[in-house]
Amino acid sequence: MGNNHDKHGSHDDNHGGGLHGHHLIPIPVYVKTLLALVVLTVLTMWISTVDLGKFNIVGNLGIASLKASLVMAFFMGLKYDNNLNRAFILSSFGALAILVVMSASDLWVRPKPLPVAVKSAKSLVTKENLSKFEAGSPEMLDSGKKLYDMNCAVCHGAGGKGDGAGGVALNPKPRNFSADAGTWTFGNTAKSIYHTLYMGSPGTGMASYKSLLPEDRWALVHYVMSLSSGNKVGKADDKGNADIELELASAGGPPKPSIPIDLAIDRVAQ
Amino acid sequence: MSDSHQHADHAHHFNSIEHEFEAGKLGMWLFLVTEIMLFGVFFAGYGLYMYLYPEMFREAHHELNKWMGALNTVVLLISSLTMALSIAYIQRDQKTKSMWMLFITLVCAGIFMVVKYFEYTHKFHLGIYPGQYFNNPEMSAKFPNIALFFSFYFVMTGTHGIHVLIGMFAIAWIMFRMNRGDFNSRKFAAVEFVGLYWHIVDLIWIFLFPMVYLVV
Repeated sequence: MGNNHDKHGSHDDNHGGGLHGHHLIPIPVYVKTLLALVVLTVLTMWISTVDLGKFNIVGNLGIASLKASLVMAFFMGLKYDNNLNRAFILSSFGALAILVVMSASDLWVRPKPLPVAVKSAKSLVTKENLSKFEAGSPEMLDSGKKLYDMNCAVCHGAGGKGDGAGGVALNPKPRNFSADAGTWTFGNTAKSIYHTLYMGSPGTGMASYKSLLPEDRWALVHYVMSLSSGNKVGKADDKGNADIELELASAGGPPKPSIPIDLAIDRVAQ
Repeated sequence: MSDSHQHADHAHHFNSIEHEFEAGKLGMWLFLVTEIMLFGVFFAGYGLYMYLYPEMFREAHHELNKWMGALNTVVLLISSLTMALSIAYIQRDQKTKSMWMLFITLVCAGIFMVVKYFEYTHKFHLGIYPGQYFNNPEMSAKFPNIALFFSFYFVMTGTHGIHVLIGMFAIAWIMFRMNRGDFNSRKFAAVEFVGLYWHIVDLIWIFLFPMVYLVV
């Protein structure tokens, strides 16, 4: 108990009971601490209404740290406590700082994830204009190429030869779009490719791209078809039809708030 | 310290009641360190995701009622004062005052939980649930992964709320014991330790409030 002998018994406002060695903090000190805390709370509320850019966060966290210091020093009595207890509590903040710095530096060197925001909540594809999307257009090819570069090229390669860096370790290998149509698991007609994009290919690295909007999937279909040559074989046309119907039936519902894990990993890997 | 061997006012494996008090307090601080680590991880994760999705966090945090948050901040600060005063009074052998201070602390904790109840039910009313149960199409249309923010909100305020509830039980237990005559100016370790716990609950809210309700 000797560690606060220099303080003990000083400025005690009451009848001085208490354990020998226990520092009695005067009651006005507690009340003043509360007043300071309330003032700081008002200040932090006020700061949040002023736009200071990055300094809002700095200001608010600074005030919070100040408030926390007041609570620890006076309410928790650390000002009068021994160094061991102080070291304990400081060590927790130190460990926390390590956690934040290490995680932040990891995040810092990665590219920021692409925004997952969808352009419009509702699909543009309806029963009436479905045939237009099935037929394709030069604009769709353009947007299909962009989507392909963003989502598919990692594994299927920029030219669609199934030679992307991300696909090297995959077994089976990613589809080579220039290979003979007969070797495609689901075929290479529009509806078959649509089905592959919608459901993915079970047992392979090919994920489902349900999270894309239907019009974006159709754009991809046409771009992938432009990469494939020769005859068209539709092994999954019926399934494609079923997918399209299912999707039209649920059109207008809330968009899926999540993206498939594989896609997320792909995007982070980019 | 001279009279500490007259009768057993401390456990037999301690030299004195002071020794017991200091050992207990060190243990309490160690526990508080683990509490800081628990909430610290939430804060770190929250901060890093805020860095990744600043617009989404800005949009989402406007759903929170900062006046309710501010009210709860002040309520918790007052309860922290009364908790500290309760210890100050028992250190001065003023048991009745100490009891009243504990009672006010308990009432403040109750007010905090009632405000929290209204905040939560309002969120549920809007279809704002954590994680996959999130069901507010308008918000999802703007930011498909906006549920992320509310998952943090529910986990952080929920874990904190559970701590408040546990604190209420602890304070009630201390009041029961004080009423029984367990504590005096020499012997008040349990009051002090519950006080430390209660202050850390306040401390966490001091950071939680600006980070979740105000910042962005």
